[in-house]
Amino acid sequence: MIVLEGVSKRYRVLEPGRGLGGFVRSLVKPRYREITALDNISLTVPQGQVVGYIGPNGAGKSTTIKIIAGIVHPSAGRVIVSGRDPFRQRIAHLLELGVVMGHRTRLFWDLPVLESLRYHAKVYRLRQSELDQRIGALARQFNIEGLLAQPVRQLSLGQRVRCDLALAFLHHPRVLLLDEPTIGLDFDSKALLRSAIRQVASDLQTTVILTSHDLDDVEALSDRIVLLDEGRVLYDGTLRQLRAQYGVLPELWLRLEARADQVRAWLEGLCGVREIYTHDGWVCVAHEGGETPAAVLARLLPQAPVREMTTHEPSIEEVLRRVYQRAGYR
Amino acid sequence: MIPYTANFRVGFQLALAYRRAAAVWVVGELSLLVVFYFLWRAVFLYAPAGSFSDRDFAAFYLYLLTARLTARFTGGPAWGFFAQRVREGTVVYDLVQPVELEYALLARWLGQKVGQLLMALPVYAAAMFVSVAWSAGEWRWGWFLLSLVVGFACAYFFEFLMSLSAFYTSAQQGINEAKALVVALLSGAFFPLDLLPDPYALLAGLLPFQAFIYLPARMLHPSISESEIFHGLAVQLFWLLALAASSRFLLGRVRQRFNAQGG
Ligand SMILES: Nc1ncnc2c1ncn2[C@@H]1O[C@H](COP(=O)(O)OP(=O)(O)OP(=O)(O)O)[C@@H](O)[C@H]1O
Ligand SMILES: [Mg+2]
Repeated sequence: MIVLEGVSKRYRVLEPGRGLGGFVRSLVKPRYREITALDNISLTVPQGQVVGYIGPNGAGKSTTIKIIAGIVHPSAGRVIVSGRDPFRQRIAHLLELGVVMGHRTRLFWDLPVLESLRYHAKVYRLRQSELDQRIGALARQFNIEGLLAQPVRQLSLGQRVRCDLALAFLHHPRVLLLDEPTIGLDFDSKALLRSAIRQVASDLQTTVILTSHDLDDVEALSDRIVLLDEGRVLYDGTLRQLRAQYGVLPELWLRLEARADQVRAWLEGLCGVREIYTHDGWVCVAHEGGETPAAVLARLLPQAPVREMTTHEPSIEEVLRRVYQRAGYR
Repeated sequence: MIPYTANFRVGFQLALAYRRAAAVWVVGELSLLVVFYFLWRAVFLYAPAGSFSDRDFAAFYLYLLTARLTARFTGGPAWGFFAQRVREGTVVYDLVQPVELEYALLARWLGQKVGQLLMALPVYAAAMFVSVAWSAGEWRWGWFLLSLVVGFACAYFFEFLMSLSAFYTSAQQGINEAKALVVALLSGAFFPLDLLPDPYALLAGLLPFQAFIYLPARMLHPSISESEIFHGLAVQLFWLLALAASSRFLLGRVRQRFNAQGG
């Protein structure tokens, strides 16, 4: 279980002076500016839950991850992970923690992958008897068996990320923090990661916090999403509730020989239809789902031949865009 | 304990991975020793009476030989232990390891040094043969090795402290260059510190750098007295404790104020 109570983080950054005079002045008497990366975040994640942690660039996702990992101290508030203070009980906390930052590697650049895995197995106090079996299983799971003997610097980005991911699962962490873990991964590799995450969450009751700009990952995996914006929690709940709350509607797109105003007239009074407009040769009918598409077709078919038809489900991106728009973001 | 032996092992493997560097080192050191031989012999030959008169060239050159071997073993990495990683933000991964970082890196660095030592073994063997033939008694070898290990640990903690400075300033280039210069001059890497004129010798005697090379290398000097041996070791142990304690303290501070760089 992860508990954040009123966590804030302010970074102090040096205000650069202007021109040469300003530069010299800033050397003598530096001026600082504060950036509020996290503003009073409270969050409780029960054991075994997979949380999708999303938000625009600079929202404070990575900062939160670093605070939960116990490497950055919050400026205010309290963090408890599995009943421990990550700072006071550092080693016990870290032993049960897995961290992946997709754009950085934890592997030894100049050593074969296998050596990095062995090393970390020992750092996490795995017994020799478990070690080979674990590494073998993970190598199969992440499809890196053929890479184990290769020095890390000779791997492609996606290969390296897969090895880094295998490493994070090695010691069966109780808490897994994944900051953009799917960076550089192809479709198959993403599927491998997804199944691995599902497996540890269900079999080992691992708590997973996942940040990603690939919202498909988040959608596929998360039990819950937390939406962050400028250091504040904008939404916390399931994706389904979010969709319902922000009501981005599914649409029926039709190609038929009629104008929008004609269609509008034919569909007059049909309940569940919200909006009708034309777009790129299509007549788009935004509706509330359920039975509506069938009802729309039943009305239209007698009037004009429908040549082509498609449904358009709003993507999670569109939902989020709507959320941020309402929050006054951009 | 296991995490630390794992670090030793990784260090050893890194040494093997960088084995070409060891070959380059051998060539560099041998040329340095040849040049120094002729340079210092000339100094000895043409020195005015009195200045070098109480010194024996053979003992002096033996010191240089031992000092170079010692420097190889105690010398830190020119780029620091993790200064680069602080800059890039990769140091986050060092900080999330469930280990005491300073001891883990000490074990890794020791593994790397032992690996390098094994690879340069023929050179070491030859140098030691020469040194033994020169030095008066074999019993000093034990003291030398002990002093070498303590010197290694002193140099390591000094480097660790310097690397920690990367958390406070981005002026690593300047710090590294200044450090290299000071260490080269005040550790006894190129000449015995007792060669320095008085005020400088006093200064060198108050600083930790002598513990890295001068004090261990001096252990093989033919005319070193027993009290000098113990005094040297005591000074080294003092610096080891002081540097290790400072490392621990400063690392704690760094963990407190650390703001990982880069998203
Ligand atoms: N070490 C630092 N020093 C100063 N400011 C920082 C530091 N790290 C992050 N910030 C600032 O804090 C804010 C939050 O950064 P954070 O890295 O948590 O964002 P993020 O949500 O992970 O964004 P992204 O999606 O781009 O990864 C940003 O405005 C960033 O500029
Ligand atoms: Mg980030």
